[in-house]
Amino acid sequence: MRQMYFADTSYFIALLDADDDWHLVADRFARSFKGTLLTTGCVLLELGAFFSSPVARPAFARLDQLIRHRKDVIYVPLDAALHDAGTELFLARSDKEWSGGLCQLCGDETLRPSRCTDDGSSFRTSWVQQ
Amino acid sequence: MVYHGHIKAGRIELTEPTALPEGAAVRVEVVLLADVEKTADDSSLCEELSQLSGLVKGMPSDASQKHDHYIYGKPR
Repeated sequence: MRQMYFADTSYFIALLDADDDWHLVADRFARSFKGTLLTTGCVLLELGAFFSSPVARPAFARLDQLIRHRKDVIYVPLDAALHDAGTELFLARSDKEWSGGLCQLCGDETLRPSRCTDDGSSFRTSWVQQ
Repeated sequence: MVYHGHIKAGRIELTEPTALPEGAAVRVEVVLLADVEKTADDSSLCEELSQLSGLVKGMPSDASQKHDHYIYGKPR
């Protein structure tokens, strides 16, 4: 069985940005990667906002193409049903500080990756722990 | 030791010639075509991710950990 990894905004920022504190870890993970990546439309929206400067946009455009068109990347677009499920979970768990994107993914049980946990922090950093 | 091949006219045909002795016992494992294609994808996805590595410079060094601050203005 292929291991599935959820890649969130933190991972892709660390990978693309050479000056990020976690860049070397993200780079090492990419160079040894085997498995399936899973990410969401919410992550792409955040990345588009973060890499909005003119010099960063070409890198974001390449990442966007990779995520949305490779068959070994599971891309979960933000549709109305997923938005509703995520918002319901978001409102029900006021004890957490998940961002909306994480909740929208977790709201869909069929798409919950193997390393997704109920702890937002470990979920966010699951890629570092491999 | 693993050899690769395919079925042709009901017999196993190996991709590369071997020097196995006559009568050597072997074990055959059937590999689904979809798994072969996905295995082939592993290296190219790895390569494509690597090609994106470090393309952007000059962003805050704590951006991956504090991106909510930089995107939404959330306090650190």
